[in-house]
Amino acid sequence: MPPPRSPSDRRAGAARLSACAAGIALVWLVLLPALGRTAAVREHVERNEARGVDAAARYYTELPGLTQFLDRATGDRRRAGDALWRPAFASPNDSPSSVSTSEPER
Amino acid sequence: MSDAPSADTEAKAPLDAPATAARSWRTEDWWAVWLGGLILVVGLAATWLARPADQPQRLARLEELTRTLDEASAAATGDASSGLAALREEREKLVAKLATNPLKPYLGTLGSWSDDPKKAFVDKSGKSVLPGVLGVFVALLALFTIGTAGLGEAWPRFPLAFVFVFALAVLSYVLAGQKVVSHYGLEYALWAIMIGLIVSNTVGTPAFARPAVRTEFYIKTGLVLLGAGILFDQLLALGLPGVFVSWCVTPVVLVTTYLFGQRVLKMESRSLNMVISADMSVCGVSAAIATAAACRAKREELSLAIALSLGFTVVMMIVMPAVIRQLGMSDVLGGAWIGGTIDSTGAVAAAGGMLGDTAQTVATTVKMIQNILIGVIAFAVSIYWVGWVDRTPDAPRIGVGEIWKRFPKFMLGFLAASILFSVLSASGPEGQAIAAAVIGGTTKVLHGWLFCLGFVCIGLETNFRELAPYFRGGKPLTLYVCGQALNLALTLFMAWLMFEKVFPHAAAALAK
Repeated sequence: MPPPRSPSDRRAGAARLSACAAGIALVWLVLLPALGRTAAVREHVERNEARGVDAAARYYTELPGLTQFLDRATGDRRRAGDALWRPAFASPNDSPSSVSTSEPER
Repeated sequence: MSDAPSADTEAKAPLDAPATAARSWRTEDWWAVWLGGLILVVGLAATWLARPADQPQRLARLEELTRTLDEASAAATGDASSGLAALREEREKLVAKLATNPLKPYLGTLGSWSDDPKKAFVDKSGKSVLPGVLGVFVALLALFTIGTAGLGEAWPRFPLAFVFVFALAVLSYVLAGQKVVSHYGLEYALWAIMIGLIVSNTVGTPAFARPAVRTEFYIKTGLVLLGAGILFDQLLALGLPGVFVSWCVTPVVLVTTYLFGQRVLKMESRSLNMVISADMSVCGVSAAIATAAACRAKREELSLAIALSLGFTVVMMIVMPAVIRQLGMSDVLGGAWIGGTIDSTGAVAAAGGMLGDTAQTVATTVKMIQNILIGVIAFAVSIYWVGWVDRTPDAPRIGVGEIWKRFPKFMLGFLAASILFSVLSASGPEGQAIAAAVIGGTTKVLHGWLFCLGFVCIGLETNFRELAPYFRGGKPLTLYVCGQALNLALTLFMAWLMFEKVFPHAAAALAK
């Protein structure tokens, strides 16, 4: 969008920018910190922090502890073995207690 | 996106002229590939060269620990849990030390804060994050100045303009770092667009800043880097149930929602329909960015899709765990339902965490498998767009040459990065650690900044009045709500079928 050209346009634009900046300052410096002190929100934030969750991550690689996460996923798959691949109806003898660890070591 | 000069130029370029052929390698799409590729090569080389000298011993110890841990887990009783935890901790420390990325300290982002925004400039340990932010600034300034020169544009005006755009990106990160905002999943994309919109619609985007207002260039380069995180070896992380929940439901919901938008709602813009359908069915903002670039959606369309997705993410993140508890679902089923339906990955982890460790692990893993799908979806959308949607009435059939000419070339970098890192990650524990170190220490930070710069630029180029027509009739909202309703129903059915009926022992193994 091209900048306003006339001096009055520029003054009006600067006034609108100041109003927006004031609004942002009010929300981010007063309202959100106050909301963050309420019990429900504080509990939510503390739970996420305790679990190392970044709720604003857009992609799984942005989650904290990526190396451990990938390693855990690989480990879960290895330990679960056949349980993740064989349907119950195809292996009537399978049960949770007969979880195999037969997948080759990585 | 639709205003991308490169795509249009490439579509119209006569490929038989040698001079044009040479120029076709110097388009924005290709420069995004070169710059993204350079970052990946430098990150990989630095991490590879920094491998510890005693790596063979570490790998041998890791193998031994893995075997011991697996045997102990299989025979675990309540008494053995503390021993298991100690083994697990030792193993995790060893895995973390298999690869270190020496670039990590020089590339950083801002921290979080509650009351005092100055705390955004220090990390959790109280150390300043400014060296990392400065490192990002210098690296991106250098790369994009070279890119601008490579595109044959007036590069001397770029650095000053970039300072202005980068400063707005820093401000966006500060706003996004406020803990209430970030822990409810309202990420920087929203604030970057808002900051850009405020500047452009009040005082106007300054003329000196225009050379660095390069939305598509930043986003395409960011997407090439994002490709490194699409690790296909993780696709089977939850076995067949995970594949069914993530990879069968998602395309069905995407296609059905898109057809519903075209045939029932009669959406005016196919690209808006596609971007909303993809961000709702796949993984929110990252899917919106990838499909918007693949189908050359308008900037306003991407902004609208992101706003819709983030709005619903906040609501679903709070409501879904409560509903799951009320219905008495198992942690595995609840986690799979959350992972398959909530758009944003971080919000999935947060909502899963409300139900417990198992639900969080299953939810995040289902989401990860769904995340991987964006590579395939973006590629399929780009082919569909150049082959069918962009087809002119006088050319009912398009040949391979024409498809290649119109194809968004940066997608090749995106796919190549994905293949390279998938092969590396699947090669064994060391390869997986190196891939994770490069992604975690280099690409994650840089693609975050690049998308943020892209969103600031979207705001700087958008007039509020241009947004109004998209809200008319409430069609985008209707599309999202109907699509999400289908997604919720179908994902729940598939998760129930897979984890409770067909693979009940898989659920038991995951819960163990």
